[in-house]
Amino acid sequence: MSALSTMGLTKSFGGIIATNNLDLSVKQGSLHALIGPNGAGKTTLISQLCGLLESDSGTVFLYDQDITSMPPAKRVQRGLSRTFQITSVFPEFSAQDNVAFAAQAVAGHSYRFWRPVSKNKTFQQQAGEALARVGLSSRAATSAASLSHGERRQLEIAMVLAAKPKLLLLDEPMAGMGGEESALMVELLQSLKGEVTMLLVEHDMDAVFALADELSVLVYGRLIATGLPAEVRGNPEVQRAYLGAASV
Amino acid sequence: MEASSKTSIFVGAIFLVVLAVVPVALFYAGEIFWIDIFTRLVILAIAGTSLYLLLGVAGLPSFGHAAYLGLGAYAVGIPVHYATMGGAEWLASYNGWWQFSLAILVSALFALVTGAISLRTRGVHFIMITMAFSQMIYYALISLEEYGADDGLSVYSPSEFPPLLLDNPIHLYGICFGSLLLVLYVVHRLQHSRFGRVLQAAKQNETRVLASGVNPFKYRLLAYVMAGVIAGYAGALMANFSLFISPDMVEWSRSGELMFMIILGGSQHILGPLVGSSLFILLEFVLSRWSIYWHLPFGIILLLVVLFGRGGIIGMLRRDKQS
Repeated sequence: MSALSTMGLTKSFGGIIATNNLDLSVKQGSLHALIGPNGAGKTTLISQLCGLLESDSGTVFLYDQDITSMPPAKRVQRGLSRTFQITSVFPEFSAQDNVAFAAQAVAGHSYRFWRPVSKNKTFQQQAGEALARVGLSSRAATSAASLSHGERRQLEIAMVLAAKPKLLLLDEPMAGMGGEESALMVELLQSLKGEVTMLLVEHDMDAVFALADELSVLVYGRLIATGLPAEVRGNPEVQRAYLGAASV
Repeated sequence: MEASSKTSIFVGAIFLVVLAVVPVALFYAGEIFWIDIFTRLVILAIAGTSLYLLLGVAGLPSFGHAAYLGLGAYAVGIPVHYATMGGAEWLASYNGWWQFSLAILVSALFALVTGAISLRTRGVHFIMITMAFSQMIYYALISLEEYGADDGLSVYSPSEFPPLLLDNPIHLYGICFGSLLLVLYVVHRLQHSRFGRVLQAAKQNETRVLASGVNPFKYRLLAYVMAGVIAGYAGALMANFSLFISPDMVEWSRSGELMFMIILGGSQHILGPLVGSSLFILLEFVLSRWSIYWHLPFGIILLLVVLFGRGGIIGMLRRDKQS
């Protein structure tokens, strides 16, 4: 069963077709990696999937529900969360408060005007658990602005985990990370496999081949190949378009 | 962090004790002039605190906040005008409950309508559109001959809240000061509630709030209405204090003054507006005795605070303690 699928999804900016009649299917429980050269339309696709960008045509299904015209906030409530290529957290909040807010955001409306959030045991506990999961417990009281780049990436993962997503869109979670930090992130994503379905956009090929159950290659808004990582790696068209014959 | 919040609490406590004791003591010592200064200070602090909810908590720089002071003041002045001069039976009244309810209702409606439009814009556009709406009120009041147009309107009799007498300066000050305490407490609770968290989060990173599953628009609109209501209430107090109201209360430079006060005191702390309005009143008092051109040194001081004291007076205190 597909956790997420698109049919004929299209988006163009002026004369540039960023997403071209795209059919993609992400199997329930799998980690599906999406690779492609710069400008292939990967981030555009993620933004269309999460609703921050409106599609020109085509449909997006979350499980069997058509979410094509659903506003982004609602999609999150239905279990579709994302991380950003450029880390997106709340810099003035502590790490704990960042995650507690993510837990609050999916726990019904926030028209509660009197009780301090800091006294809400549910949110604080969920935040604590998510921070522990990504290995940031010791930094809970630190403001997000004072965290290192890698830590902010981990924090963002903790935030999406606190939303208890069914499906996670990860936009280059390893971008700008050093080797050690990348290894930690791979380990973290590995531990999430099976628990959450993930669509991973990533340039780090070692990470992609270590993690992916399935691999799709996007070039100029089109999927040129989809399948098991080993198959895709051997696909001559992919080698020509992206991997470069010499590197394989 | 701990130390700095203790400093702020300490400074705040001093301010509140001074405000509770000094004017009353001076009044009974025969220095009745001072209570006027303090009453004005406290009313401005209430209006400033309501703007803090927008500017400091939600990051919405409304440049039209004086409109609510005017709406609240005219909601007192117009019923009194009819009660004294005759006409408009349904509206005419000296009753304070009626006048203050009117002030709150009118402010809430105005905030709801203008907020629903303004909050679709961001940054400079938001500043301009909120200013434009408040200028609309300004020009409307100027053209209403019935209510004195730009000559203003005398409030012949203050609001009646038996057994309290608002023409007794001590009673009026007590009500204003009590209102300030209440407003500070309410805004403090709001700020730390789930509601306040949404506002604060949306101020820092709106996209992330959307991506977390919350559309901040309605929360912002509600905050906008709340701030309008509090400022409208402050306007109703202002009418009782000055007993003369005019469109000048609404002019855009008044909105600017409110913003100055917050920036001067510190826009990132709930006591910033109180500290700012105190300093504003003090500087106005001292400098205007020294020269009729007091706005010039006042402007220079403000410039220095903005350039070198990011976070206003409270911000400076907190940094000193930290270093």
